[in-house]
Amino acid sequence: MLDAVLSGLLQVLSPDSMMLMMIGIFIGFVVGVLPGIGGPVAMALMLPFTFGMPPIHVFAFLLGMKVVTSTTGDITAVLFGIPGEATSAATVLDGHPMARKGQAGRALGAVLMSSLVGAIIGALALGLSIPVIRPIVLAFGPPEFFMLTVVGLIFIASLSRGQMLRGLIMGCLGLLIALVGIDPQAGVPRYAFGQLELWDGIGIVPVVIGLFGGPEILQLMLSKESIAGKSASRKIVGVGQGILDTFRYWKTVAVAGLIGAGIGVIPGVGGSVAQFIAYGHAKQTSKHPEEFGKGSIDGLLAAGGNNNAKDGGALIPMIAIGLPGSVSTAILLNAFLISGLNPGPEMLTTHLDVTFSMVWITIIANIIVVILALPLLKPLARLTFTEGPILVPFLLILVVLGAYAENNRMFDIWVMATSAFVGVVCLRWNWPRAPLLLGAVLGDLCERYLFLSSSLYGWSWIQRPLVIVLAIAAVAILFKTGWDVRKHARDRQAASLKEVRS
Amino acid sequence: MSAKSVAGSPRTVAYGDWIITFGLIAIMAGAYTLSLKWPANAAFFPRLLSAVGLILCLLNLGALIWQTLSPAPAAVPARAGGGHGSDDVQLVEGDEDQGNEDEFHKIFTRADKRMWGSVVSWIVFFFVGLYTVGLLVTLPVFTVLYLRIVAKASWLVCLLYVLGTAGLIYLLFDLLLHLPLPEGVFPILGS
Amino acid sequence: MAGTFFKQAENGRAFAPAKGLSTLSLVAALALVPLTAARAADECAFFKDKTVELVVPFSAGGGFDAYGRMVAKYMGDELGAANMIVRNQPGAGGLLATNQTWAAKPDGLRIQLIAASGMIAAEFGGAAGVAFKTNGFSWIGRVSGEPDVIATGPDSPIKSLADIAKIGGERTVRIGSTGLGSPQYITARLLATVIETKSQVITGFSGAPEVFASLGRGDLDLFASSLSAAEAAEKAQTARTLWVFGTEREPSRPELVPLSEVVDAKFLPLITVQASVTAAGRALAAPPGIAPERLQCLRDAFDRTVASTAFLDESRQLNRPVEPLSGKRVAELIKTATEGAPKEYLDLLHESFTQ
Repeated sequence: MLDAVLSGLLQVLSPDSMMLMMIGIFIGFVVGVLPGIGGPVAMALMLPFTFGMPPIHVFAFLLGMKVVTSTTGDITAVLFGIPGEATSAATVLDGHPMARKGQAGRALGAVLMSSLVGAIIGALALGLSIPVIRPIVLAFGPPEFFMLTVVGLIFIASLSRGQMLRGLIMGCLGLLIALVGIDPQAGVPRYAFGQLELWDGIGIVPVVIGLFGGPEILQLMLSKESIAGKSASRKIVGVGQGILDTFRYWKTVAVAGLIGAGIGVIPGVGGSVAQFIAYGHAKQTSKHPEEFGKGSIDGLLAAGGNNNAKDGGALIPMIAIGLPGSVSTAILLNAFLISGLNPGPEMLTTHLDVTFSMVWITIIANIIVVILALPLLKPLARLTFTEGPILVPFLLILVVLGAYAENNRMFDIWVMATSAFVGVVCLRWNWPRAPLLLGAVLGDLCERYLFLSSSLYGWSWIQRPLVIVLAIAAVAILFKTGWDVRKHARDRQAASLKEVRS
Repeated sequence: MSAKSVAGSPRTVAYGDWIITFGLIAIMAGAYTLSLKWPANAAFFPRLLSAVGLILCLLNLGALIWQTLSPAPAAVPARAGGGHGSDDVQLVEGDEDQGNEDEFHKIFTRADKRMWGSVVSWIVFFFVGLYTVGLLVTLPVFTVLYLRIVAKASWLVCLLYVLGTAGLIYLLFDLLLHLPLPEGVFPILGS
Repeated sequence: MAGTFFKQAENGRAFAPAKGLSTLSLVAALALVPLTAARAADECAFFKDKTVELVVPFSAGGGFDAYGRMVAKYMGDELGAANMIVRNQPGAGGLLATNQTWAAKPDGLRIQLIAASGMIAAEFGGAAGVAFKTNGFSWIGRVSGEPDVIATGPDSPIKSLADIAKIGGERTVRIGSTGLGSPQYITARLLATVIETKSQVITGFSGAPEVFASLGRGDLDLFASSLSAAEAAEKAQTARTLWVFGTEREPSRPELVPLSEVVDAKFLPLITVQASVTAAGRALAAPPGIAPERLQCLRDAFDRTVASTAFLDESRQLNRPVEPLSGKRVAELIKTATEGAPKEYLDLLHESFTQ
């Protein structure tokens, strides 16, 4: 096994693969900044360039590109409040408020460093899981996937920002949005209104971009101020501080990374749920939970640490049994097949070096991107001090192209515009948006796995041990959230009464 | 993007809430009605969710009615005690939890009719342009007009801006990714 | 996937056109050669300096997409076009793009790689949203038409039909499938019919990899998928392939018995028609009503492309086996499949699509 570890490293360090990795990193860096185009879309479009390359070169190029887009996507999320993918929406929740407070430098430093730490955790999880990889992956079936969506949905409550009723309503709306399209049980087009474009459901990328990017652009157009506002000092400080923060809050980052790597393993559900679990967990353990959503450094670190770790986790089921965990890994799986590799036992025996090369590529590419990005952070952070109107045309084009690129159709631009409208209405009248997103991400998965569980196992799936564990976790989280909300409300009521009396 | 908002008085906030609540009630009721036509297994989730959503919306409506009927003591910032259990927290203006979103909320609330009017027209202009003539035409026209009129940028800045964005898009979409760009229904440029 | 590299599709397929017909058309073709050739040359000049769009009805990055890109890479030059670009237009399982191609201007500048088998099934199942007639497309040629196979779990006791019947005696036999109306659903339904025992098609899996994972976990008994997907799953030890879904052996896997030899003879027509629909595979088509000379240009360019060593080398290198078939043969194949379908088959398609 140690041979394979070394051989994997040496093959990655060969001039050819390093060269390809650098090209991949460069492309990923530029493309990753564009929301919606970064992750899977860029990989899919670059796939043909790998035709005919040896496997390790393919992964140096594609995987190098993928890990970089995750990181640079966070840069856009922090600076402009537009998440690049549905799986990295949590970065916006605290990263962007920091930028608006004039702390873009610190936020970028923190997100960059925590991404690196998270990526290393994810890569190590992949490397360490190799001896036990198959039984682990096979232990999770539709019932476990279903329970995980339930755990994810519970976070609607903690994302409601103290507006439980409105949060639940938005969550329901999000879940309903996820159900649009041909249903898997009876083949009925639900809520499609005769539009073929709606048969495959509403794309989550245009929804995320619109929901978060729309209000941001409108806000710039209305206020005509820079993102960081007039009040903030124009001096950009704190990239170094952000990096230090990562190590100061190392526990938060490490736990977020472990959650990402662990839950990222679960195909389909993992990536989108992991970020909210990591974020919610950080909030519940933080000393300053009230700062979450306002520019909390632990919140951002949790999101950043989780984001790149889940990429490592998502590789695990793909390598073990050929089951891709995310859209990006589905494309990597195709790259596997094209380069003549077969996921499964072969990857753990004859091609073990290739498997380890993927671990190394994840680590090395992440280190390189940190080194490359560091000198750019200051100039990038300066963008938040640019006059708002100057940014508007650029941002408008960014959101339009981001919505369009996935499927090349105008329809998605209208989905994006509608989501932007919903986002603005939500903010104007104080309705929470995050539960809507969470519902939209999880709704169809929740339904599909519930039906699959019951048609595969009847009701006996409820007795599966992992299901019970997850159910206990769900109840515990629910109680903890309820407790926090109650306590918070009581504290505040007491405080406001005091204020009135004095 | 209603242009009717004036200043952020509690009454106007409630006014938006009424519309949203009624809108959501309509959506949930519609979703429920549509699901009645489907076979049981396909309808199970939509029906469950729309029913729950409908009940929650009605609860919210109840909270709004309660809030309107019960005279709020002017001096107490937190109009607590309205409606149903946990949602009493939500009615607090300037909730400390809201942070960044609150800032957006303030900007949206403070903007007057004229500002909304101008912003909405720009956006409509952009999307109509995108729909009719496609991105390649809309990009330079919108950028130059917006930068000149709103950002008061110099012609040089406009030129560099347009060249910069167009160049970047060309590099990325055409040369690197071979992705098509949104074309209008009446394409002027391109194929 | 080794060993399944391209093979001449003509051999072993059951749909050779009636001999008389082909002689007749040969005579007709010979008579027209000088005239057509001259006009075709003119017509082919049309593509010079033009950009041809090859529409792929699925997202970029998938297997279908890889075929589209492989063809586009070489066919543009053969056609003499300035450029042949791939445009991904996913939606409604391919119906969206196929509808648009059906209605597109028949100038040859928009062609599409069509999942012919899925579209035939959708059309004849009366699926909502179908606005085309598969038979009416101007078929340019088939790229690949791999057969479907039937797989079971790696540790499953199933080796023969009797084993399935035995399970069926104890409990319901579970057959995995993606959503209703998908090609996998139709094969699953057919499979459920021909095994003649208590069985249930379990729908709702997101795709073949997820079904194979369930198969590997032992949750499912059977799954019918494309040969290449099943072979990948065999390597991943999540599946063991049992039979070919058809009437003839697959040359690359001669040990696999055709389903027609396993099940009762009365199901032969059903299996035959399904095999021929599957054989229509992934084929290139232009909108209906294209000028015959221009279609000829496209067909010639396609034939040259799929015969070129560069193309075949790439197909082998990428583990994307091709089984080329000329446009004329594809058209005939689809005609036979659609006209000769037994009522039982059509009924089954209807059940799969209409609610």
